[in-house]
Amino acid sequence: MSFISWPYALLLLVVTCAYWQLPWRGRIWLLLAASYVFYGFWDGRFLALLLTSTIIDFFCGLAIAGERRPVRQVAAAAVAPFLWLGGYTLFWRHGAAVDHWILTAEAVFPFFFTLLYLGLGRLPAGRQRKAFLLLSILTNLGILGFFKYFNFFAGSALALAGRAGWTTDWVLPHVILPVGISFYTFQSISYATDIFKGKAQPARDPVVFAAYLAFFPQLVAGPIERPNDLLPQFHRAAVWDTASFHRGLRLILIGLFKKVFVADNCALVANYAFAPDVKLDAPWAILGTFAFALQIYGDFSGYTDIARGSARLLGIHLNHNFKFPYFATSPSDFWRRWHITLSSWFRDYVYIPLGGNRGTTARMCFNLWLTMLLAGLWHGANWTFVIWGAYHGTLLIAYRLTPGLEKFSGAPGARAAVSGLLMFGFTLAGWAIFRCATPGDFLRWLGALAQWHGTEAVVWWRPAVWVLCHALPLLALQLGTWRARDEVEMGAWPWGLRGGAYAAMFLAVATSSAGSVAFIYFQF
Amino acid sequence: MRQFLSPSFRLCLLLLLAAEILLRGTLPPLAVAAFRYGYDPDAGFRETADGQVQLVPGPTRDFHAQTFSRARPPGEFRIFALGSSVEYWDAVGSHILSNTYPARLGVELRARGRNAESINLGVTSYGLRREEVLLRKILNYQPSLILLKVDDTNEGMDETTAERNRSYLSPWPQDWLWKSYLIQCGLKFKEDRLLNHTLPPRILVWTTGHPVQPPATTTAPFNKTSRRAMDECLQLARDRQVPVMLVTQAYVSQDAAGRSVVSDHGLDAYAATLCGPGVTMLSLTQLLGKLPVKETFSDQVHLARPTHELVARALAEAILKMGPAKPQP
Repeated sequence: MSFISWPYALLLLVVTCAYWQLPWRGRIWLLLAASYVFYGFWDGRFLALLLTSTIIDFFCGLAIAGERRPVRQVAAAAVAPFLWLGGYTLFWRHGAAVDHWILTAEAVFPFFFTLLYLGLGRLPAGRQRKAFLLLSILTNLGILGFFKYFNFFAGSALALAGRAGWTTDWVLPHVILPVGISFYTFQSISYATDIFKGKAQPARDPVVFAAYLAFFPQLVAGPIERPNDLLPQFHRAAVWDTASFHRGLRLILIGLFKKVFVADNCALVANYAFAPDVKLDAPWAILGTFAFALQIYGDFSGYTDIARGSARLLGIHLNHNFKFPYFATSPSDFWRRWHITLSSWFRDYVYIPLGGNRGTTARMCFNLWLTMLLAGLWHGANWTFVIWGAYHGTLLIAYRLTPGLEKFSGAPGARAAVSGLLMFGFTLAGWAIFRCATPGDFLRWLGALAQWHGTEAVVWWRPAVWVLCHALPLLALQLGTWRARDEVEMGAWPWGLRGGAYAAMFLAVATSSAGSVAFIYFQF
Repeated sequence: MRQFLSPSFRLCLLLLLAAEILLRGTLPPLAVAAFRYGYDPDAGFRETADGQVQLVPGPTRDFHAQTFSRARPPGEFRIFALGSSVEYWDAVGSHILSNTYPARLGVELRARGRNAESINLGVTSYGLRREEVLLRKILNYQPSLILLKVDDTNEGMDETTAERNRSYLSPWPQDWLWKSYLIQCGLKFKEDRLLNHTLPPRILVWTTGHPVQPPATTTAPFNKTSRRAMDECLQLARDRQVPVMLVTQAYVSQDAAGRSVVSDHGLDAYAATLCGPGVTMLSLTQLLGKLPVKETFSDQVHLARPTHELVARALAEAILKMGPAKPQP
């Protein structure tokens, strides 16, 4: 179910109205049911996968904290994905083609987990915690790795073998990428790891944990929440706060404005510029990349705002994901502003465990580069994402190793403006890599930068006016909220101006007819 | 309730409400009918007390302004030409009625001694679905012949406008926003004044769900809805015993060597299957295909000004071959 749809509006309205009438326990059940309906709208079969992840992480979380549940409870829970999938495939329509053995494996795996749970329980207490942590991490990475990367790596290996003269008639399985898998598996990993490190307490109520993991506003595209930030909010009944409710509505309005008005309209130009049969020249290459930069920012930060706004309506606070990323003055600064919950996840669960800044400079550079490479790969099974990660890793290393750069970019005034412009240029180059379908397309984009004589039949300046018409209102909003250091904080504005801005944003959304474009981050 | 709605939110509602009331108070009903996007059968037609019918150009239906009598005068051969911007424009960006082939057709027929009247009902971006709505209306005005344009360029626009028209009329809550004059006007303003001026069709065709669609190049032109509309048009004409001449569009494209070539998108073969008693066809591809492309076409679809004359002449000769008009039942 997309946030930009009437079913979602109806779901949110019904859930919000019912939520505040119910006692705490009822609210948890309501959130769980709403989240499963929300996820099942896309493809109900993959709810079995979410259930599998929930069961494994719930029992692993408890075991990591040294609390063991009877095996009969684990076995009883393990039946749930199997029953759901069996019932669903019997009574409901089927979605996109996917091999049956994959679906069967996802539903049967909890039974296998029950045996592992039994076996690992016989280990000495000290080793048990580590074993359950490993089991949780490996299960989540296994699910993510298979559904997201199997065909990519297997296809690449087969292609490589083909080039070496070793051809096979192997047929790769039909695997479809379940929506949101990259987000909820990462949230599960941080849950198990934080419990292991003693930073968080496990959920002891399976319904609370299931509602936490599947919480619908952030299930499919984040923000990736840490257990200490989100889980405690599920353990107590939220108290009605009118100001918080207003903020939720404002977040949703601003999110819609970013997504429908900015992103979807800029996508018209970006999609054209990056189409394979368009003869790119330099103005078009730059305009297309600029339009894509606005598209991806409006799309993802708009999604996050709607997610945070929806959660706010239910009295639940989700973390910031964006803080004026295109105003960044350095690569490090950019990653403190762009997809904050993901970059901090990679920092805490990959970069620091690898050694972080400790050790030699060479080791630090390797850690940084590898982390960014993995962050790039997280975005999708495509070599362009890997190159994009490597590009940002290289930028970060160059920034750290160049003497005086940190001081220059951190200085206020003209030097900050120069740094900001430079960083925006580097960001745009990164988006060109990200948007190209293949590395070959990126080389074509690079080649176009040298062609200023105009090879493309469509003049570039008229579409540039279109892009600017959608960029300038966004810029005005950003400048208006800049002082508050929060992209959606309009509290300091006079109420009259705020009212006018709400009306203008509402009209901007309602009169955008670019058509419904899916959220970009749903595919990651 | 006062606490529930913040002052800024109340102001926002007030501003939107005031703008809505202002527009409802000032916009004439005619302009509002524009949001039926041509699916209102009566839009653009004004019948006067002296028995005349005026075609009123405007946002409801941007016809060429023309007048004809409600009842066909005795002995007159009355032609209604239904079509799109190809019929409305005499060259890209120019719309002088007397230069268009439907208007010139009347001149050509009269020069050949036939008492004929030809009315140009071409409206920019109209496809078969909206031509069907128009046909239902004009069958009341005793046509002797219908020229029905067969062109797949505007299928997407027909789909989108049909959807908007449906939303405009729908009673369901998800369509309530469409009832607002403010949103209708904002949407139309943005499309007409910004989208269509800044983004050329070559960009718009890349947009999923956008009205402008890339022209079909397969041998099976038209989607199901357009085919159904075509069948419906022919059935309506048959029921009233009005002959129909299908005019199939020609398109300019480039071959592998980069040369401009004229093709029919498979429309000729499709139209040929529809021909029979009361239904004939004229293929623009056959008529214009061997002429120099640059002089014949204004762009990939629209005709150059001299070409209108050529088409009018070809149509006049084809009509004369059909024989005298049957009296209207």
